[in-house]
Amino acid sequence: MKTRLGFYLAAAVAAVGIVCMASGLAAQERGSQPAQPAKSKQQALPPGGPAPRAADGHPDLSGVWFGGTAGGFTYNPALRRQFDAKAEEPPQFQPAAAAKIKSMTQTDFELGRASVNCLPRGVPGMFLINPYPFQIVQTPGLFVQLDELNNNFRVVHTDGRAHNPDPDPSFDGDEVAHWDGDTLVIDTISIDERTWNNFTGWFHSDQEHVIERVTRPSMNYLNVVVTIEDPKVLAKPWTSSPRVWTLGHEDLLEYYCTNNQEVEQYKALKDKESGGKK
Amino acid sequence: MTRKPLSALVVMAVALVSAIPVLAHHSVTAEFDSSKAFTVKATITKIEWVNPHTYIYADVKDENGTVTPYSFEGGPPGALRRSGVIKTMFNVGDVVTIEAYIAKDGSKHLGLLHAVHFADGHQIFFGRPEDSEGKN
Repeated sequence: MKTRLGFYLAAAVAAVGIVCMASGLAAQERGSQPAQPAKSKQQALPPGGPAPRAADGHPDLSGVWFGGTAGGFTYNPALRRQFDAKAEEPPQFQPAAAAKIKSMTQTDFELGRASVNCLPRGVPGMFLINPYPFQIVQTPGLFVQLDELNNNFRVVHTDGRAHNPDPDPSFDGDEVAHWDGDTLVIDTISIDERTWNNFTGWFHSDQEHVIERVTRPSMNYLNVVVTIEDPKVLAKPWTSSPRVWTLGHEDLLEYYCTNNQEVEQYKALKDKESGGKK
Repeated sequence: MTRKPLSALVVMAVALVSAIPVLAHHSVTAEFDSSKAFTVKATITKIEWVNPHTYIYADVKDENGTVTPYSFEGGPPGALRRSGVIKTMFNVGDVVTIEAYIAKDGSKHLGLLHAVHFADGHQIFFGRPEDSEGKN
């Protein structure tokens, strides 16, 4: 506990500037540019040496992982960034799917956001649209992912077993995994159709098939490459740029999406947009 | 359906959302404008340190002595803690100067916390909307 308290106090000292500028603020008018905190001296984590190995010889993916390269909270957008969006090929949709997305309004986008509708990110959202850290606990034959976001979790067998032949749809889907060299390959089908893969309308069908390739190239870094096949929605499979996560040295906290009345407001707004027609 | 002008829809959306700022959860980038701030001197009246968003409520007194209650929204407690901002840094009764991002719907008594400046000169920053949920 002392260690954590010390961390928080150190962070507080870093974040709380002792700068006498309050007196000048009263003159600011509505619409003014906000004052800015001192620039952080945080830097991207170094590789940190080779990845640890588990007793069974596979890379040990265990750890608390933060999106970006800071290994923790950062105000620095460059360190928070997990990938270069401009370098990633956008998903190519089937004509009907493209038309559906094009017809969506900003209200539709808000209703589809997991941060608004409070649905679980699920697979692959927990890697693609999850700004919160997660913890991986790896044991021989098991990959356990504990998400700070809504305290979601998933437990995946890594022994190469086959999919359940008749799975029920679920947010995390029916997941199986195997090791391909030093890469853990998680294969998922039967994903609940209510989730989106981004915040701008990328819905999916019951035919979605997700392959997550998880590697730990060094002690401090975790990379995840996501491939999505969805013949009803995508014109061709889509593969992400590597999403970068870095090792933190603190416990997960609690985050819940709660008290969500906004979705009802957006639904009412949607009704207005459509003139009462569903 | 034809695509409608996004700006008009956003205004409509935040107008609805802003009517229930205390209980609503939303994407903060839809509700607040991170390029524009406003500043008020206020007395803290209530502190809510809960998921998914924290709130600091404060009274603002104008030159005529009229008191107006303001609501200021912050990020989730966990994200704030990691950035060094914790609940005990604030107390009901504190007289502070608050910088907040404006609500896009023009509501003057609602803001997204940017910084709280205390009388002794120290200040606490809360980050920008894009630091929060959903801009990933």
